[in-house]
Amino acid sequence: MSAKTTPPDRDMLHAYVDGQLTAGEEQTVRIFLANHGDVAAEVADWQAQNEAMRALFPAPDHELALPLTATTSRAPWRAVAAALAMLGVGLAAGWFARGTLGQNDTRIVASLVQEAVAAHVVYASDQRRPVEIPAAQESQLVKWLSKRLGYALTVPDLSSKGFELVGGRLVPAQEGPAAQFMYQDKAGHRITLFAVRAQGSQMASFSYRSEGDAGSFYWQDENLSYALVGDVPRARLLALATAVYQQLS
Amino acid sequence: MSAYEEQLQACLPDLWRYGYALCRNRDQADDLVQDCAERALRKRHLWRPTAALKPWLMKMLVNLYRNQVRDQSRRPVLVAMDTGAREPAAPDGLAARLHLGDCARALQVLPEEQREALLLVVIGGLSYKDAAAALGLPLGTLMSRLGRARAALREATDNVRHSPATNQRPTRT
Repeated sequence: MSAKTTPPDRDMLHAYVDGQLTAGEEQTVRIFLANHGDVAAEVADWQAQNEAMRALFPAPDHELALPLTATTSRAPWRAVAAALAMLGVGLAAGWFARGTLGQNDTRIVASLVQEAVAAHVVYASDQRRPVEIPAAQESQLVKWLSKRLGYALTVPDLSSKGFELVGGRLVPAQEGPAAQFMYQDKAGHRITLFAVRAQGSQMASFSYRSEGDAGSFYWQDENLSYALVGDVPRARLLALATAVYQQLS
Repeated sequence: MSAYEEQLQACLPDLWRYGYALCRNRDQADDLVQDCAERALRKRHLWRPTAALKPWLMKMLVNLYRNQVRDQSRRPVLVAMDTGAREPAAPDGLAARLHLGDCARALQVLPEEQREALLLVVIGGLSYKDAAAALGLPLGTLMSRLGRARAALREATDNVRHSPATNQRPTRT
């Protein structure tokens, strides 16, 4: 073949460095480089550049979640966008089927998120009395809130994610009484889990939104809706919300 | 999860890596990938199943990135550049880290079009043909951008290596 006698062109040298040649072509380039020290030095520099770039920009060290559906009606979200600006929000309950949220459902979710955020803002910043019943009386707390919501609650354990239960309280919501559980990490960051009875059983949907710093996702079943709120980085909140979902499902 | 979603999910790490290389900020890379994936889900009907998904996604990511850069230049914001904040996987010691630093600086001053092309091939892992398609360029243009980018990087790192006073590195204050 003539390949052995034709010197590789520049494009071929680049392709050699980027691993885009066939084994035969690679061999041709290797032979050429062995006899042309100046070109070999240049190619070696390119290889070092590639290695440096790969070291500078390594693969992600966290899991990347796929947004499962994009919401079609966004108007209600704009209303709460301001409230979300500083906070990441995740709303969770059980999720067993997927669908697209209708306008009314989206409104319900938007108002849920708004209530969860409002409750978070009021109580998470309270240094003296953030909760009504402290974590030390956890069983009493769960019993009381379960009775008020009319549904047996469980409190997710987020200690493996660095968050310990501070306690909880009852908060009023449009849908009825809601439970708020507060967690705190060693650095003093607080997140709250907001739980309320889901209205009807029609909502079996999942949706995801990201607005500036805030990512939010929610899913519901016929029993409860949960919202997880906190001013922690989105990836971390996502991991926490996933843990909540896994423990509650 | 549909086959489309599975393919999309499989592309996310490379998308993130390219996004991170472009904006040098982890949070921005997260946002870029989320926006890109959301757009890909909305536009799934536009994708031809016979074509590879990754180049199409990379094209979306570049466009999102360019929009972001354009918005930022209109309304400047302070962004933390976190390159070097974490220890990169440096093979050995100081010399390697200095070289990485030089490389990072040289990349930063490359013309945007060259940087996009070089990183799409090296970090994004696309073939030349796919990279040219993703950037909307003829193959020859992609290759010449690649060539100029590598020559510029080589010159920048070479200057540092052979500068007479290597311990008085040029710094901007």
